[in-house]
Amino acid sequence: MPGRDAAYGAYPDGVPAALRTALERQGRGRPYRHQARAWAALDAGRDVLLTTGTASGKSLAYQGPILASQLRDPATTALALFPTKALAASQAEAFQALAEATGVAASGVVRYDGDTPAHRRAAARAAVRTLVTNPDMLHAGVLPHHTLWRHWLAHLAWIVVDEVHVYRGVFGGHLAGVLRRLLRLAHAYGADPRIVATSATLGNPTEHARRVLGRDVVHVAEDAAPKAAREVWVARPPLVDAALGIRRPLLADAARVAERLAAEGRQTLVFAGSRQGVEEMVVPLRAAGVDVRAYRSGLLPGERRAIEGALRDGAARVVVATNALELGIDVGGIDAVVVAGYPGATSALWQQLGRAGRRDRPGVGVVLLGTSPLDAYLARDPDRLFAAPPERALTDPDHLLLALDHLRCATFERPLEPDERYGRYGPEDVAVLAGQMEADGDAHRAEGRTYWIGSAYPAATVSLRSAGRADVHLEDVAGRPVGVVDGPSARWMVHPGAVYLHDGAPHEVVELDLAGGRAVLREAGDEVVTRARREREVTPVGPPLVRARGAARVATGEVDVRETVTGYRRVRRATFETLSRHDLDLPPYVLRTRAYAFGPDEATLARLRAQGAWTADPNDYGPGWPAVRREVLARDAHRCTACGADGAGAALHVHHLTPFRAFASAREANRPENLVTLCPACHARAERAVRVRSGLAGLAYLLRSLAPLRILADARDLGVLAEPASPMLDGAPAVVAYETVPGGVGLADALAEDHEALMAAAYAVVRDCGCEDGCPACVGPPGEAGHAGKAEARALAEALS
Amino acid sequence: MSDLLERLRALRGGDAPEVPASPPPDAPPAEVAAAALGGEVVEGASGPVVRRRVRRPLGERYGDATLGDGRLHPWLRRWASRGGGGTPPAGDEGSGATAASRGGAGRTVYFDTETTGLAGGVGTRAFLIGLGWHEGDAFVVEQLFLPGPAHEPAWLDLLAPHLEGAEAWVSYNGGSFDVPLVRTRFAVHGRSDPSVGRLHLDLLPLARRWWRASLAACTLGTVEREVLGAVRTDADVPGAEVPARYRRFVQGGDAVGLRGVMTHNELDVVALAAVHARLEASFAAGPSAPAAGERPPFDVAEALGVARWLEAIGEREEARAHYAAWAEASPEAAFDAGRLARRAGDRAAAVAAWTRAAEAGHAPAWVELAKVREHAERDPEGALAAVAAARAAGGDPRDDLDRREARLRAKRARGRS
Repeated sequence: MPGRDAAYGAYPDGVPAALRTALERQGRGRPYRHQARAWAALDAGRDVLLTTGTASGKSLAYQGPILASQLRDPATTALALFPTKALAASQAEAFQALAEATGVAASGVVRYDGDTPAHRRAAARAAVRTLVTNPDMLHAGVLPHHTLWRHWLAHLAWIVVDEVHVYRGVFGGHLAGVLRRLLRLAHAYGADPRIVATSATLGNPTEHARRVLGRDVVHVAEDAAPKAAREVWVARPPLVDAALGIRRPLLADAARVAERLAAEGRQTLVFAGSRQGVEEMVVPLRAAGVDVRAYRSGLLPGERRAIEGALRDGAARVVVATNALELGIDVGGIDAVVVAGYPGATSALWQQLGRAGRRDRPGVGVVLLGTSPLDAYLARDPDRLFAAPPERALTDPDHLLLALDHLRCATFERPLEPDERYGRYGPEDVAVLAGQMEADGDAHRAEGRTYWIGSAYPAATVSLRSAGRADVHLEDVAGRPVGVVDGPSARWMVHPGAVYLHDGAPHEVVELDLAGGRAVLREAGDEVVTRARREREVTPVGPPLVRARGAARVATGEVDVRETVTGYRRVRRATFETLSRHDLDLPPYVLRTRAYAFGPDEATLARLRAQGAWTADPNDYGPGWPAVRREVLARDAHRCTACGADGAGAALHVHHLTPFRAFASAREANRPENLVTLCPACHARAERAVRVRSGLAGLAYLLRSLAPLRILADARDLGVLAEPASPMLDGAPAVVAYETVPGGVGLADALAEDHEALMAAAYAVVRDCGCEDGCPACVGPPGEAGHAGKAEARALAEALS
Repeated sequence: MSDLLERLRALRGGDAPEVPASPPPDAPPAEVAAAALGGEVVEGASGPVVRRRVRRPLGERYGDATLGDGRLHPWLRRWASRGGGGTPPAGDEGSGATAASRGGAGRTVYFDTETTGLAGGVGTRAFLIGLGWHEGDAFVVEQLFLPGPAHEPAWLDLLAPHLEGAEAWVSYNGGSFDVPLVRTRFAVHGRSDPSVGRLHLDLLPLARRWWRASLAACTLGTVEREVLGAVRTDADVPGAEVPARYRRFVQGGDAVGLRGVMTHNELDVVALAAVHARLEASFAAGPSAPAAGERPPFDVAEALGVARWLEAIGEREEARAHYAAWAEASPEAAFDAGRLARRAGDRAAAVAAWTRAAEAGHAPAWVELAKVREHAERDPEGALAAVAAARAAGGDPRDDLDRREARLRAKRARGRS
């Protein structure tokens, strides 16, 4: 990748001389063209989004205008929001240095977050001109106490939102809510601030900025900073077992690459996905005599600062880091960057690779891809990394649950006026939500206004990282608190009889009180663990939107995901032997959300069947089947053996306990002891309980991994399942992906938009995978997709692509 | 049900309990509250406020304590002017807010609030404030009750003259709760800060210094029961229930549940005056001797608390007198009397006090005697004996007895050679 020279612009007229001199003294006498453009747009009263690359000097684009306005009017105040405390610390220091050089009191640049000791907070509020903090602190520590910040709020001229791409999904919707509350209070104190945002590259930068910031922005994208030439290598660890698709461990190979780069005298930065990954890589490197340092969460601020400094001045030769270092922390140019495992998004990959290269020396980047289907897809043709459009960030600033959360906080901060709006909710909708707050006992409406009268501090009950979860509190038999589990997980983690590990110590659940939000635990021995039996059912709420897309039918719509924990097994820990089975009668957890579903249309299904590439059908049980079926129905007295239904409502089914296709012959499969009578509802449940080993399951496995191909998403955001008979497609087989956030934030619909691209990628992965019958890098290991799973998945993916 | 609400319920998931819609609240008439609580309705610019006033003859006692005369001892005045024991002002105006110490005999106002919650922040309101002051031969308690959040400006109109007309405010834990809360309420409505130029005396940190050693807790309830011997006859309202009772009134018009809250608040204000009077009395009781018949007897622990506090505010001579008065009864007091005597340059008095403490088995006093014998009296032999006695008394390792002993032995050897 070739390097490029800088392109310069000019600072706007009217930049105070003190600031101009300070910038010149820092060697920044001429701004890059993108810095100049951003500054000019802000001077013209516009809001601005910058999406230029790593180390392109984005911070000057807001530091400059803020300091210029503070030199003109010392009362002017600003807010700078950073997603992490580490980034806030690093940026506050740089800002203080420039302020000092300019003659603006550096003491006015105040970091105020969870690390600020209580006894220093009053002094910090008294001194603040530029507040450097994170959204969580603004939400829970500043806005609910706004009278203590009234001077700062009354003069608020600037809001900086750094790394705006981080605010996606629920977090993005929450940030939108926090900013709306901030602007509401600022307006009440008579201020009308401008917004400057920065972001990594995105597929939908201005749309995302409008959603999160609530403003139309001038988008400055062209990066005019100089860039060193770079060589980027993309590789995968070699195969150890081609048939099973097993490769050499990624982290060990990444350590070898790093060792070699260091031996060549290159300063090397390694990104390992997780904190454990960092630890795992440091060990072999140390053993090989490499001078290596670990940069990860859990370090003290001083320790982080020391490593950052050592990277800048060259004292640190090899640093292994988590993505804590990815976000805009200034460490200067590095000779070589090793990315161990795809970070999940091209924007993150380029932020990491962007560290490679100095002005005078070309950089080297090595991307080692792992064993997921997505990694396999990208590794096959690196142009899929280099030429791909960046992912879109999705969020819903008007998500109803988040709207209620932030209206609660807003009411606490200042009574709601009769004409108050919230995002797309007009005064009438806001009044309805205020009515809910009143019914909840938290608000009182009088003379058109809504007043907070609850005893709670609502910001403390709203976490910016989640939506609408009721937690279950765990306590021991004496009532002492043990821990917390979120409501949806409580059903399968702490159902009655469950063995729950707390801090490594096994506890048995005595009682689960879902309505009261508590579970009682007692200590247990460590021989036995439990495995919950979970059933998921996705049913549409109203008719889904179904469209023909090639050979597929694709549905989107609102759904209820009903997850029921129906029982559990007690399993001997040492041998995995099942000791006993138990049924449970727990209410289902119902998640109202959005889903995307697809499956082959009828013609395609028929063709696949004819090819022998679709064996998941429950029909064709051999010539003797009608007689065997009658016999079993008579034996079971024409009643469902599970629920006792008598078949009056719907015809009864006869179900194979062990799936039909698992037997060599129909005669063996159809022995009466393998058959039971079930009603259609219980039958569907039974079929789901036996994992559908089919091409459909293989395709679901692929989708789970490939979903982030075009959008920013991670594994926790989606649930994916293969349904042999999905109500999303009138009972036809389907792969269903639903959003795990109540209400969804747009992921399901985005996946449907990208349907063709996803199918093409899925087919490419299976086609190009050299394994025999499934592996982690395509349709899952044989145990997952099972009998002929890969061949079927391949045929299905080919048909749909 | 509206579509929006239906959707909201669906999104809240299977967990969400159905919230029964509360009956449309009748506008809570201030008259209802006034009748139930025994007050009068005062119409303000932004609506009604309920006011209730109770006078007590000054001869009346609260438990064993008098209600005092509302005058602040100069020592308490100085303490309050320095921020009252480390409770910084909550706002951004610096310590000037409570720092202005003025002479003269302005009014002292005792006050306590009942609030919609304990969380703090702009959304936490006081719905009742009780104010108490001495007036002629009476102690007056005036309570201002807010019949609905919309009427807060009128409530502040009535409250402001009381707070701004006072020279000093007295509260219990007001430093971290009531005062910031009141300042926030004034700030929310764009009014000037009533605490500027006023002294604030928070009795909680003082109660801790006086009685921490003898009480399980230093809540106002414990202090009035254990120290003042006051027993409240009516069933008291648990603090945690107060916000819910106010909500029931605002949303459903049920004022009866607030009667107990009114009484509770009134007695809290009276108790403030009584606790203050008790603190003033302990200054007088101090150096002379234990006063008989006090309840509980003005004891060593309290005397030490008073003396240490006097030392902290710079009244070293007073503190020394307090320690000395109790030296007979307490080696701890004797030791501290010696310490302050030494600091005042009175070595003979120091040695006498330390000797008294040391003979009662006080190890640090032995260490101090060892120092005096070693350095001032040049008596290594005597010092060694003191070190041995300190050790026998369970000497504190921080005194580093071993090193001291080794050094003394070396000195003794040199002295002999």
